[in-house]
Amino acid sequence: MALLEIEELRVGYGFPVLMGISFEVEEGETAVLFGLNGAGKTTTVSTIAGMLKPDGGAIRFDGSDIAGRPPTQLVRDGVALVPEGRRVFPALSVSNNLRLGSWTRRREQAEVDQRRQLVFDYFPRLAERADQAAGTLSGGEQQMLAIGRALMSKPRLLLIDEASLGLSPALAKTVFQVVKRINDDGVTVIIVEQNVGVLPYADRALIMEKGTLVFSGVGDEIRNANLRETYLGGGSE
Amino acid sequence: MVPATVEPAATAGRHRPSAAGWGLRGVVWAALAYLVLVFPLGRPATTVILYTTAVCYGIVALSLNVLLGYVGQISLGHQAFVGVGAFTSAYVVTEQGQSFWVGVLAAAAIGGGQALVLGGVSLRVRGLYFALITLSYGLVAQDNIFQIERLTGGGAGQPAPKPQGFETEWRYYYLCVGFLAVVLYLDWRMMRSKSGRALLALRENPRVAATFGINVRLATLFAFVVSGVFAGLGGALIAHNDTFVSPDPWNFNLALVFVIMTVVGGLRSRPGLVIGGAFFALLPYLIEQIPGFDSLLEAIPAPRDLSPLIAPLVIGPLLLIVNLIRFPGGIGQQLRPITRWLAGHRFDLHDRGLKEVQITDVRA
Repeated sequence: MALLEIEELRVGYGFPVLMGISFEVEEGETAVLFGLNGAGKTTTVSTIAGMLKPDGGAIRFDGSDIAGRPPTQLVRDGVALVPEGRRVFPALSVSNNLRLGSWTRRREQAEVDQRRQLVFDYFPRLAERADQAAGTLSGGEQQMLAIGRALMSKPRLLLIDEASLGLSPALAKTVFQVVKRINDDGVTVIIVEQNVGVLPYADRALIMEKGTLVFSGVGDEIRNANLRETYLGGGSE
Repeated sequence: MVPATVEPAATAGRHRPSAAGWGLRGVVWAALAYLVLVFPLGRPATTVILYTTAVCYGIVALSLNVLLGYVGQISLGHQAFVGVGAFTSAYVVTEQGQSFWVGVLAAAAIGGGQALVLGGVSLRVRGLYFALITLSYGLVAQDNIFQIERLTGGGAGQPAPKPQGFETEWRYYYLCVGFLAVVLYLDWRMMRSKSGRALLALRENPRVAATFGINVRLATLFAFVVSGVFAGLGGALIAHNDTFVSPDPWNFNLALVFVIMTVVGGLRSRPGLVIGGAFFALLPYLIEQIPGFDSLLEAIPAPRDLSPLIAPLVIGPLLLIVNLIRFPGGIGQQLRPITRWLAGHRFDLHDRGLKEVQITDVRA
């Protein structure tokens, strides 16, 4: 059984944005959601994370329908979102940003400490800056913090919106490599991207266009298909 | 996977003042203690009443800061919360024959209770709409609640005697300084707790805070209740300082003064808030001390007699504009190099904090 099943999901903001998309993500996979601006990628992950209520369709996580559940409940269920643009809390220290990520587990101090060490292991740079205000970090470090903060809730499904946005190609590669490590440690990942540089790390690729899913493939399908030329306007790297 | 232990570089390079440095700080601390604790002893009773009002305004500023500074929600009806506290304590002491302590406790509880009820109803909305709801509540309190004769004495008002053992102005002043210290401690403790961090996260981005499982409405309601408790306490202390409470002062003008003094004092800066509150409480008195000011007021053609009491509403907005344009962190941000130095850090004139207060802090 797939960890996440999306069936005929429809979402809108007074006008339709997602027009009945369906896809599945198996447990332990890294899925990449591609698409140009306005394709509906952020709407898709925001709806899965409970930030938006769907107009119709089903979202099943580990077999149970989670469509419309509040984010508070979904974080407890094991769904975590790294929002677009990082959105770290600039006035708070790195440590306090991480503590906020473990809000739903705030009474389990030992677990919180363990998660914090795990995050510092993935991103040693954050350990060096633990007491520094998050707003003083570089863009790459803020992205690391945003991912680390989401990991603090011990998610089974990690949704990362625009992981490489504003990062240099080298830094984006570093972030993708760490995300792959996180995935290897058992966390299922969905990355929203416009950068096809993430493809070597993906088990599944989903391509969206104007609120619909136009391609879904796994393994060799995504390596053989010429995704960039066919669907993504040919040039984005 | 077993993670390798990576310790944060927490305290590397922290400044340790020399013995002379601590000595100098001690002298400044002693001067501050003298100003707060000894200086009032030599002042006349009428002036000490003003100092006590200044202390109470400090509590009110801390109360409003919980909403405005920590959560980013503006209350334009805070005078109602403070006024209800004042009337509650006066009613409990005068009409029910209870002690001052019961009155203060009741005022704090009713302050928190009304915030709980109003917040429960209104915190579905945020920003400008929330401000409008609190504004409406303030007007309802002003024109209705404060006019209920059985509770407030109507236009005649309600006596609010000073507590036993604190009958003199000086003793009551020290009592209020004690209450201010308690509120400062509670505020400090709250912001070091998980709930405090959640409140700051809410202010910066409620949508992102929600993605971590923080219940935005519940956390905002918590802040509103804490703010209400502090406001009720501040109101009770003001009532007993004046030994009388009437409905007249608790109007929208006062709500504006409360908001202005909180912002000018400096959101999220405890020293700034206390100084801002005290400054606005003392402003009419300070204005009166200017030689020839009375004749200057009389010379101004106005539809009604001008009095120094309107000074906060004239000078306040001017300070607010300067604040928004030049010093968004208010007095607190300007004092930050000194307050941090007093706490043992290196003196750094340019250390104003990391965008700690922005003019976009309050979300509409």
